[in-house]
This record gives sequence, C-alpha cells and structure tokens, in this order.
Amino acid sequence: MPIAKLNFEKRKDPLWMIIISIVIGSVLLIYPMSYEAAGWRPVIMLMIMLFWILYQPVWCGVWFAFGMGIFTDLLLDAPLGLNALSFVLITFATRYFIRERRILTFGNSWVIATLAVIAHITFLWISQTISGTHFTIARHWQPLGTSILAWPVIYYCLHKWRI
Amino acid sequence: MQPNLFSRQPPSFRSFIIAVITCLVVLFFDWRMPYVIQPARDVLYAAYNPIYALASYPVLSREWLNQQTKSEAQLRRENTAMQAELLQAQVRLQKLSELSAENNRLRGLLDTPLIIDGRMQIAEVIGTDADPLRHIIIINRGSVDHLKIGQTVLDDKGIMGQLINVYPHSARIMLLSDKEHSLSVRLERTGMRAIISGTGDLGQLKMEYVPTSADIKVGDKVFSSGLGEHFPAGYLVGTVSKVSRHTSGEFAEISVKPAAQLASGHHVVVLFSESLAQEQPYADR
Repeated sequence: MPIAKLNFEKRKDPLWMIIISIVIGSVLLIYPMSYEAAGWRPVIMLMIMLFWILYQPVWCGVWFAFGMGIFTDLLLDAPLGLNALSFVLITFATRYFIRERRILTFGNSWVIATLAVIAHITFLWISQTISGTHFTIARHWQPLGTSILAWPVIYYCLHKWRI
Repeated sequence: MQPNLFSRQPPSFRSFIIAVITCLVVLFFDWRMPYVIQPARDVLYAAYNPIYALASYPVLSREWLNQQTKSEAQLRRENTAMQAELLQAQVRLQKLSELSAENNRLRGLLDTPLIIDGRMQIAEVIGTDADPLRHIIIINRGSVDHLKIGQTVLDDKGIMGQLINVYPHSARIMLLSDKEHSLSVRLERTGMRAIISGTGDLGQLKMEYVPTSADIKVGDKVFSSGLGEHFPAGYLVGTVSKVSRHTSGEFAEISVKPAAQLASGHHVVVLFSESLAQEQPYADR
C-alpha cells in the first residue's frame, strides 16, 4: 500500500494533543468531588500516560512517564516520586513484555490497561501499608472498576492521534 | 526511547535504571528534607491555581444560575427573613457591645491586655484537596489580601480550621477534622481544658486526654481556649455528642460534633486577630 504509506508521514502531530490531554486529565484528577464520590475517581493520569506510551512510543518513553508521575504527585500532594516510580515501572514492564508482539488492537490495549491499573493500585497499596497510612481496602479498590470502564472512553477520545 | 516502532530490541535499560534511581532520590529528599522540595511545590501550586479555578467553575456557575433564576416572590421572602434575622442579631449585638465594654473595664481592673476584635476577610471556597485522606479546602484569597499562615478560619457557626499554605491568589485551609489537626479547647459549663483532634471524619472530632472521672456530659458546648496562642479564645468549636467511659482505660472516649459546616460551607471568614490569641485562658468567655 504505497499510497497509504505516503499519507502516513502527514499524520497529525501529536504534541499538542499530548499536552491538551494532560491538561484535561489533570483537571479531572483534581476536580472537587464529595468524599464518597472521590473514591470512584479513575486513575486518569496513568491511563493517559499509558495511551501515549502504547500508541506514540517514539514520542513518549520512560522519561515521559517520569514527568507525568511527578506532575501527578505535585497535583495530589503525594510524596514526591511515588506515582513517578509506579509510572516508570509500569512503562518499562509494558515496553518489555509487548516488544515481541506489538499487535495493539483495542481489545489487547484494554487488557494491558487493566493489568497496568491493577499493578498501579497494588503498588500504591503496598507503599501506603509500608508508610503506615490505613484506609479501607474496599475504598482502595474502587478506582479499578471505573478505570477499566474509562479506558474505552479515553481510547475513543484519543485514537485519532495514535500511529 | 525506541528508534523504530517495530524494533524488537528490549527498551533501553539504562534510561530505565536512571529514572528509577531519580525517583528514589526524589522520594528520599521529600521524606528527609521536605523543605528542599517545598519551594518547588509552592511555585507549582500557584501555577496550578488556574486548574483549581477551572475545576470550581461549574460549581460557581451553578450558584450564579441559582441567583439569576430566583423569583421575585422568593427574593421578597428571603429579604423579610433576613431583615428579621438582622434585627435579632442587632439586638444581640447591643447586649454584646455592653458586655464587651464591661469586659474591657474589668480587664482594665485586672491589668490585662485589651481585647480588640480584629479585622476579618470574607473568602469563597473554590476547591478541595485532591487527596481524599486530607481535609483541606482552597479559598480564593491569598497573600495579595495579606493573609498569613496560621490564621484562623471561621464560618457563621464556628471554627473551621486554619491556613496552612498561602499563595498569591489562593490559600489552603486545614479543617478541624483533618487527622493531623488539633486545637486546645475549654468546656463552657465547667471550664475544663482539653485538646480536640480531627478523626478524618467530617462530622466527628475527638477529645483527647480527658480522665474518666471528668465532669462532662453529652450536649456540653466546647469553645476554643486560646492556649497555644494559635487560635483566638472564645469561638465555638462544637458540642459533645458521645461520652463513653471504660473502666479499663485511663481516659474517656469523647466525640465532639463540629459546629462549623465543614462539609458544605461555601463562604468562610478569615480572622485577623492576634490580640485575642493572647487572651488569658482563665478569663470567662
């Protein structure tokens, strides 16, 4: 398909979309909600980061994940570097395990996103247990469900800018 | 980064290791030397202010719509109710000013510093902290309006909390119910001093280090005592809602229901009163 390939080079430049998606994600991340509702807030920054890692690997790598993680930490007032560490580990693991078979259908990406969210929440849970912050396990796992449901929405909004 | 999309090379281990080490170094710095990170946090927090403003915009616009769509009859009703309330308040104020004058005279006899009611600043709540474990709200006044860290924040019912960070156009308030918050109080009925700490629950505070033998009952009003020179004395904190005395423990478990609307307040008052904080704890309210 040479003609299709010719057009490929003129695809939209994702830089602005990456920035806009991060800004919108950060607004959703800190949008004021009641205490009960806030428990259901999906881990939106992780999923936006994962989308760009999967679909724009030339633009976004480990350092992109690091930057997003630091940004998330500052927004959440979390210990600086906690989310960054989790994001970097997830990015590297994703990269490492899909390097042999980069067949990113929507279904595959959904499975990857689910595993990434589980890994992220487990990481936060372990680190909070170590640092002695306690809150109920039920509340801790609430974002998992909403995050899994939110992935198709994020994919639908951003898939125009995938490669 | 991968140079080629379909490259089967494993991703660069070197940058991964460097990133992980950077994370750990940053975590260590944040843990041992938070003051190194704090200026960066403050600058970025001020930069994020537009995001908070944007996030609170739908809430504000809903209030604006509410204001616009009120009917005339409703406004009249509200006006009448408010005038009645104002009249009551003024009558009370007359009595209060007399009491205040008397108090000043008595204080003059006792040779203690005069109490001057400070200036106050009304502010609007524009957001809450994103971390659900902290009870922190954000208001739309900051160092431009001469706010300072440590000032007391009230609403019309009682003490809400204190300022913990001040940025040029916003400030963060730690509510009484935050787990890390404590203040010294005095019971109205007996004058007993105690410490009240947050529990992480917006509707409940706990009173600590009160011996089981103490004279305390459900319904007792709790006022700030001014000890610690942090909060001014004599403002309502809450009412005692539950007292359980276990024979095994040395201290009673006492729950206090906060008077201020911690969960739902929209306007708050920041108090500029330093002389009140110096008030003598044993002076009657």
